[in-house]
Amino acid sequence: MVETINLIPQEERVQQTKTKVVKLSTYLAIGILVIVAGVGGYFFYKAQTIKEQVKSLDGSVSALRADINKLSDIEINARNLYTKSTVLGSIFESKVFYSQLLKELEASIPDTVKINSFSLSNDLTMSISGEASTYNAVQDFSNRLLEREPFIEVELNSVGLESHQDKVNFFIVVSYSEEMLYD
Amino acid sequence: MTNGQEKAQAEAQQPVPQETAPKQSTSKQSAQTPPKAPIKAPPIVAPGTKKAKKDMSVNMIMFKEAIINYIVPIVCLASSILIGVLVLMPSYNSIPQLSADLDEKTMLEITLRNKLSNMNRLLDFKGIVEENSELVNKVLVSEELVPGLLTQIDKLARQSGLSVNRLNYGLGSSSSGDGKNKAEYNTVTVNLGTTGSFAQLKTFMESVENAARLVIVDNFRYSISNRDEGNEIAVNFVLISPYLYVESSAVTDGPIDLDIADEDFQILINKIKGMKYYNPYEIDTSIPLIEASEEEESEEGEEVLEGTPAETTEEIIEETLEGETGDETDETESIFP
Repeated sequence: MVETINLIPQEERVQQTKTKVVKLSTYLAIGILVIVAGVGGYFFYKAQTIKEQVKSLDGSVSALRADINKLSDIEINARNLYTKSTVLGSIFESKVFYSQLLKELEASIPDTVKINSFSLSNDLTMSISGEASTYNAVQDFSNRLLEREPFIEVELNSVGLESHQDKVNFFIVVSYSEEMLYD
Repeated sequence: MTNGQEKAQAEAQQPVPQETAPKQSTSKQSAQTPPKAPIKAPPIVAPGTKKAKKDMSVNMIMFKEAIINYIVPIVCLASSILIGVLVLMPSYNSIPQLSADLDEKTMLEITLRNKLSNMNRLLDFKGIVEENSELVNKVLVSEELVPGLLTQIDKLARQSGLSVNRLNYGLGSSSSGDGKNKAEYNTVTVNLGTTGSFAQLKTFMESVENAARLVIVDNFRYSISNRDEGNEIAVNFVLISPYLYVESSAVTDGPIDLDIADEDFQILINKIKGMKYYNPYEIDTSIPLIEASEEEESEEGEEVLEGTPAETTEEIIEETLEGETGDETDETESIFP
């Protein structure tokens, strides 16, 4: 087995190590500097670019504002119109066309039934009292009401025969759908 | 650089008794010394002595040489720190804020650009905008204009063939829609008592629904009032007419939502165009302005046939007629002399 003898003096070896350390630390420091400078430069560039864009937008916004301010009369007019038309649209959406209800009601009344009174309640019902020739006529009236679209339910609250007048008095409560009466 | 360092190191390793020995012999001795020889503690040197001064100068030389050796890394690291503190960190920290500003400004610019485009279009169709404004103002007036409203309702009733025997009003406010679309407005509530036929009631109802200024039928009820005269009916209405005063101001950065080409807007305008206009300033001076008391106003719509189910029809009719037509005769005289 061949043995190797290191003939380099100890001082020289220390010196070589020191040189290597200096060299390595120099490279490392330069490397760090390059990285920091690169990253710093990138962020600086990016920040500057954004600043320039913001500045450019500021100019554009100022010009647009100046143009818009010249048309302030139109703007006020348009805003007024928009507000009112929005409110009107909302009112029209929830406007109930009772004329339609009356038409449907009229179409449901048989000849043998006469309405004496009619009223609307807040709970989407209408109370109808009247007189009919027979019980069957009242039933027929109820059935005809239910055949019509806006009417949902008919509740017969009271019915009484007046024998001396040969007629039946009735009182019914009819539920209706408001949605069917919208425009 | 390295020669000076070598010398300084050699001197530092020199034992005290050989202090005055020539440099050559010293280096020779240190070269011959085995590497793992125990290090002797340096002797205590009194300060101010020649020896101490020499040591200090040796240390200084070593320090200077170390500085000189590491000058590049030191400068690089110092530069890195400076760049990091003065450039990197401020730039890095400012980017989120700048980006937010940029986004905000971009959005604002887009909004303003759209707004300007929209306004230029409105300017091109200025005539149409003004016409539409006029139409909308006819339907939804800015003030209560009660005399004109009562005149309109009275006219509608009479045109329908109903005879008016009670007409009074109250002021209030209302809202329609819900959530985001909720619209609030002021109202004039009109209580109208009439007599006529069922057909006339229908005609009146259609006329009211198609009238501009806008009148909404809130509630109504009717009952037979006179069987002898062909089943004449007494009808009570609660009518609501909204009005809204709008005074907008120019908000430069705010968008304009009005789009005259929008389908919904067109439908609305066409609907308004189809309504029959009654001049709110055309006033029938013969109609007195009777403002309903709050009690009367609230009861007017409630007073319906909500009697107990056991109540007979006759009783209900009697109650209704007594409550309505009985009082109405006097009021008819007072309203329409």
